[in-house]
Amino acid sequence: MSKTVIFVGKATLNIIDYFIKNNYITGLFADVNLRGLLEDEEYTNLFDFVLPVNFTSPDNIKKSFKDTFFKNNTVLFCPLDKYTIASGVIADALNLDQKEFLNTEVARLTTSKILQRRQFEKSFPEISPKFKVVRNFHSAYTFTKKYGFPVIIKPSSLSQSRLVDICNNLEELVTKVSYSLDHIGEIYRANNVYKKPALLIETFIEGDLYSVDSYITQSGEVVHTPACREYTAQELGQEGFGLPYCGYFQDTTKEQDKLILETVEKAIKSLNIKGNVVHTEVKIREGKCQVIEIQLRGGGYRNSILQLAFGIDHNQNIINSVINKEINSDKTKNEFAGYVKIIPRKIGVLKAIKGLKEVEKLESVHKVILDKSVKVGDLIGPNEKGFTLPVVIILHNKDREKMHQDAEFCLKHIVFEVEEIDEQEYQLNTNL
Amino acid sequence: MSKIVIFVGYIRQAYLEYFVENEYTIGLFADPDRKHYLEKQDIESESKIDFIFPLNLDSKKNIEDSLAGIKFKEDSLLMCLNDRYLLASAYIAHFLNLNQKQSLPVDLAKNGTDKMYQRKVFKKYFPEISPAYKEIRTFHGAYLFTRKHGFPVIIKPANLSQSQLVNVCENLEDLIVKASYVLDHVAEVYKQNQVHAKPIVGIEKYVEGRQYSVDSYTSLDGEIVHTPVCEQALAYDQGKDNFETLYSTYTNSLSKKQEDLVFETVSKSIKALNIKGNPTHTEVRLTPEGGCKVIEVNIRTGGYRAEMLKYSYGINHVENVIKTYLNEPIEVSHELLQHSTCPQFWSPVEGTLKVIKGLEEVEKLESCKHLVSLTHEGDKVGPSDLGYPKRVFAILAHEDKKILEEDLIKARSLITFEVEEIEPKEIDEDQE
Repeated sequence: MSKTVIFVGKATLNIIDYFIKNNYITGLFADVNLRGLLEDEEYTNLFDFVLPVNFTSPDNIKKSFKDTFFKNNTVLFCPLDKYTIASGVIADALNLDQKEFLNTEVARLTTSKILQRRQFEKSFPEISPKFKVVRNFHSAYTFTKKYGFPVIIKPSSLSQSRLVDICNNLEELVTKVSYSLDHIGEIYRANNVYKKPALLIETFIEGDLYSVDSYITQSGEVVHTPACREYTAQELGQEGFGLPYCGYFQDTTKEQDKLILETVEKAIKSLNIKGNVVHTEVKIREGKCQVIEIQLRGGGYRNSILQLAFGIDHNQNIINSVINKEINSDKTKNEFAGYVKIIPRKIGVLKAIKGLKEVEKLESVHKVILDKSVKVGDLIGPNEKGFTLPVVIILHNKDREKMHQDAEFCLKHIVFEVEEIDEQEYQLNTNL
Repeated sequence: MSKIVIFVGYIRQAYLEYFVENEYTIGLFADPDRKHYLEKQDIESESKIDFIFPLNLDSKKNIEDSLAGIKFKEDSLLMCLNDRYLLASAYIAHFLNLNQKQSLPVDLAKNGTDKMYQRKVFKKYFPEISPAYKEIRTFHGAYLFTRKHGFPVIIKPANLSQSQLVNVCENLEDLIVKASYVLDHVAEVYKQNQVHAKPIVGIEKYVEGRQYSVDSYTSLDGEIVHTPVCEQALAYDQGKDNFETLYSTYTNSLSKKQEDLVFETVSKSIKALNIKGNPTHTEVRLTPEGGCKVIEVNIRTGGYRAEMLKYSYGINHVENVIKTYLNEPIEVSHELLQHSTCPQFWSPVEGTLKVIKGLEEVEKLESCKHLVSLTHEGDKVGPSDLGYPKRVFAILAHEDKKILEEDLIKARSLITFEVEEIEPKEIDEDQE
């Protein structure tokens, strides 16, 4: 048999390219409710085969696979959190080997920030901040009365910082919690997240943000990739709660590294994850490290930047962790790589993206990735308001400072020219 | 090129093995009405298939509905090894927009499996290669034909294969019994064989002489490459009252002149049907008068030809079929390396199978390469003229023609069916 990998729901071009270049047979279990996906021939033609699947409930998923058979060792690849539970249901419906480690219980734990917090609180309370599920503003208010400000509000099952926000005082809490509660159902639907919407409030963790991608063998052995520094919008002097710049900058001490990896390992063990890859975000400050969240997938663009910085074949290691083959995380080089996300700050109708040509000339720019689904005339806006990210730039350099300079240049010089709309009116309209 | 092959409805062992050896991803569009989809239905063979999608093959609309939203790369190969799925294959190629739709247009598939249509076009373009024929709906129609052309005549359904319901009538008494039986049972046997076409019965003048078959590859621009001529021994030629192919043999027994006449006739039949970009299996008869007439053309390869052509001439038949679909040059040798034959066995009596005797002894014969029993205790078995499929076949090959002939005689006498006789009409639903 040729090597076959089937993506669940949707996958980014970056990941698909890897498997095509490495002579895999690639399939897609396409989300039939994802607007324009099946009609996008340029995209669907990338795959060797595409099967439409109704992901709206486990029963509908099972119906989509009635009497369908795939060889037990077929590998499902789920790069998006919203399809993790569906992947577990498919693995079970198709009786794949993967079902043992991608069961619905693990999938539920890793896609619900609420369940994760509960599990961490039980097993390793030191790695988790105080938290609470909020269903109305009053509930958020009583949490801040008890634990004070700042607090983070975030949906339980959205990714890419969608609807994640920080509240530093009561005024911000009123505005932001109300916005999130009003829009959460709509943004779950807009992002095809087929779960009951839930909002979480937690105490803000002070410290520097890092993420770690780890491979876990079927026997539970954990192999970590190096810690990736994630700069928040605030650290870069921007508005919002996005993470505009991240990368492998090799700027941690050995003690910090040890603490980060120990914390990540505790998170993995508390959720009993095996035979999978996880992406864990932590914050570290003054000998204390706490988990922001853990996800059952690789981090964004990690295959590119791990390859550029250390020569690590991330996607192959992900497959190896699933099929229980040896993981090779040996570094063949030690350089610097990262990526910049250009996040629109205002909601508006896209007229043009400026500055791309200047950016392409920069020494550190490895690749400029434009989301093809975002076109002139489309409504764009910040991640935390639930919008898609239109531009990502992969960076690579042997000189860390030069790469930082180039990242800064990208963040400053790429501008979204938009026809602004009245945000209040937009909110009212979308509420309708 | 994506190395995906998808069988439609049925998989022959030699093809399965070829694609496994050449590291193809192997799929099946399964006919939900068919229990056994493999020539050799065992766990080992089943484990070689990478995926199975159920497909309702019984009408154009059902095929279209079953394929809604499904995509395969345009260079994926469809492999149809059974006449009854040829039209479905053409629809599949059309709806999936595969490259193969060029070589398998719906019209060709519709007409190519209809023996009455074949007779019409042969009569139009090359009347010398076809006997007199007529479509019959009632016994009276058959009677009128015999009044005009005399006896013996052949009665055969337009869209069945493997000699199912093919009967020869020597005289009026025969005609009364056999034409009535065929007309009464044709709809039922079509249904049991999942042949989704209107049941049609034809009558034609019996062609005297020895029967031969030729597998040919025709390129997209119409160039025909023939494999060597295969001699077919029919039960009727040996004094039996049915048209079972007792065995087919590659021994280079024809003179150059006879061989040329066979090839010329086969080429005419392919040209008359305007077949391009496909393999064909054509059966002809060399008449005592020195002529050559076509019995039928099938747009597929002949049964077990892949194994026999490999043993006898070193021809890689499956690879040549793929090259035909891809319009690549074909490699064929006519130099005999070994004599080969393929005896096939039906139960001479209709009934419930108790045991098949002699299998182990046949496997021990010096020239036996391959022996397959296609049935199990409790299955309904019977002769082909009552609509039953063959139940055992063997591939024998040897450099010494005498040893091969002796082994063939032994095999034919060793294999016997012990059955519990049943009332007629109870035919096993599981075919092939």
